[in-house]
Amino acid sequence: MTRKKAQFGLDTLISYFVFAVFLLFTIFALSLSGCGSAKHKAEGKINLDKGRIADLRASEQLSAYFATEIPVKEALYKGIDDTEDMFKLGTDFNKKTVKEFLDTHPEVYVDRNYAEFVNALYAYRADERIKDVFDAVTKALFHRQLYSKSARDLNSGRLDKLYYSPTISVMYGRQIGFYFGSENLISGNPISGAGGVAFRQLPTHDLKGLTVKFEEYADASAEPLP
Amino acid sequence: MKKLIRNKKGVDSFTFLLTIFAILVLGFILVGLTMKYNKLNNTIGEAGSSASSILSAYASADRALLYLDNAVGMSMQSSIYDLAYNGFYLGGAPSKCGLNNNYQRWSEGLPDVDSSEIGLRMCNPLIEKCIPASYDANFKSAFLGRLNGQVSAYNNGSEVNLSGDGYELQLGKTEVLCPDKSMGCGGRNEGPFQLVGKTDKPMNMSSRRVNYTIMPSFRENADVDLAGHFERVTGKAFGLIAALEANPSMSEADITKILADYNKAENDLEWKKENYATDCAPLCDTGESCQVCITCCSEDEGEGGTGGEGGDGTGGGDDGGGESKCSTVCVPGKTAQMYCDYNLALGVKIVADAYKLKGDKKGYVGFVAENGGTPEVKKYEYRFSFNWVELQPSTTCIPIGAGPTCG
Repeated sequence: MTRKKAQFGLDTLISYFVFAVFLLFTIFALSLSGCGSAKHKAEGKINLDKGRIADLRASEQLSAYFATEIPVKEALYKGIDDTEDMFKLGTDFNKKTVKEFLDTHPEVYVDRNYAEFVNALYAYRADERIKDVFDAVTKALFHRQLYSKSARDLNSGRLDKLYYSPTISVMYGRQIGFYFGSENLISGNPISGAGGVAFRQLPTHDLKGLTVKFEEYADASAEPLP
Repeated sequence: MKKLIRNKKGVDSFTFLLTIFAILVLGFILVGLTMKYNKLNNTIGEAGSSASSILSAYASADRALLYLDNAVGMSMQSSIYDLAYNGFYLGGAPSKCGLNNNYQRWSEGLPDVDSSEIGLRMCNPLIEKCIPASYDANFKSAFLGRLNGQVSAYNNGSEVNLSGDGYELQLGKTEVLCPDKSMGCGGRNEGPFQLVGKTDKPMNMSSRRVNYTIMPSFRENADVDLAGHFERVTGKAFGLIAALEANPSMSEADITKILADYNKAENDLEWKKENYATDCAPLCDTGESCQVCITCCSEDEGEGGTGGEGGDGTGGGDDGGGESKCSTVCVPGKTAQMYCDYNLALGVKIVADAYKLKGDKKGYVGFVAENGGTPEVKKYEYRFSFNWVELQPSTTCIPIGAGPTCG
């Protein structure tokens, strides 16, 4: 039987049409499983959650700070001395003032953890020195040492030491949250840019309470991968 | 298009129908999958949102529990202080021995007042003891009162509500409540005194997708060994009362020496005499009967009679001129004996060098609270007082009711 030259018939058209439909369904099925635009949606959601996750990290970190025991006098004073040397440019507290206060009020730090220390300072809120005391003790307890190495630094080939101190601030009274500038006590500088923020309320003897804020930069390593 | 129509080859109808059928089936599958995805998306949400919601609920609970833990610690501090200040009694609820200048009395001489017919205390050399047998109930009452205050303050305006009720409290030495510290029950710094609060009342937090329930139980340690101090202080108090019963005329110097011996034996507690007072004027009722008599004399022209009194009815008269007629008038009475009333107030502080201020020899454990907005440093001090008497030899007769009269 001779075969005539193939013609573009309706069956061919329908075949192409069916092929296109299958192709389309395959693409739809793939998009449901996360390809194409779904991936962008997932990435968008993860970006949104990054902020929340940073806040949760900050929340856990602040809880850990609160449970930190204040060291004995000698260790605390040494920490204050060392910190003043570390933060030469950013230290606002007066070391002498801080030690004078702690010498006359050991009940604010002896056998106390950080939360109890903050609470005890609240009782002395009429005393201006507590601003320095809060800053000094916070830095002495929680400063961290960072290492950087840069060939362009003056001491090329040697490690340069940088120090970082967390930003913790206190506002009297129970608040949902508060902005920089409205706090009563602060240690460190406010975070600019993306970061995690946590608020915690603490009780006080006068039942008015106080609120503590902790801020930290959102670390890239903390981001979840899609 | 014309070519297509003119194509005589035509289409197999079966193939055509099969194609249409397949397109319809695939269309239904697509719609079904899309609906299922949308339902899933609305229920669970986008990737990672559920985990994020759970962690947020956890953080919410953590905020409330952190407040509770700190409120418990603060309430323990204040409760221990109040209990110590009131000699292990509750403030406002003194012992049956009463108070002596705000110091709870742990002993009282001559407690019996009511049975005297002459309105005096009955002479009784024995000392009534009011040393508390335990401190648990009073501590729990003081603590829960303070905790409820803190919890109410927190709940005002908070989306998560704590409860100060429904706690079953256990308190005592940490080594007793937690004999095996490897189980992690030693508490913060393994402080000597521990309070455990268990509750069955759950705390609920709910968000759009998550319902989170926890039991806000707590375990807190205090740096004051309340249980140990109670045993030691009350033990020594019993010893002191026994010594006073044996020798009621013990001098102030003797007492000072005893306290010095206590301080030598114990480095962490300092006994101090706060006040010592003696009053040797009062009288007590011996219960023995006597008569109060006077002699009444009368004369025809002279003055009225004078009389004398005595314990056994003797009397005398005086002449005013002319003949006098005297008679003795007696009324029943009770023999009253003079006694010395002693009051000794003591304070026992907790010594810790870490609290020592410049120029001081010792430091004492305390904490800072507030009094009307002014900071107040409260040093823990166990305060109590003793009262005892020493009967004196001199006696007198006091009439029951009105005294004798002439005429």
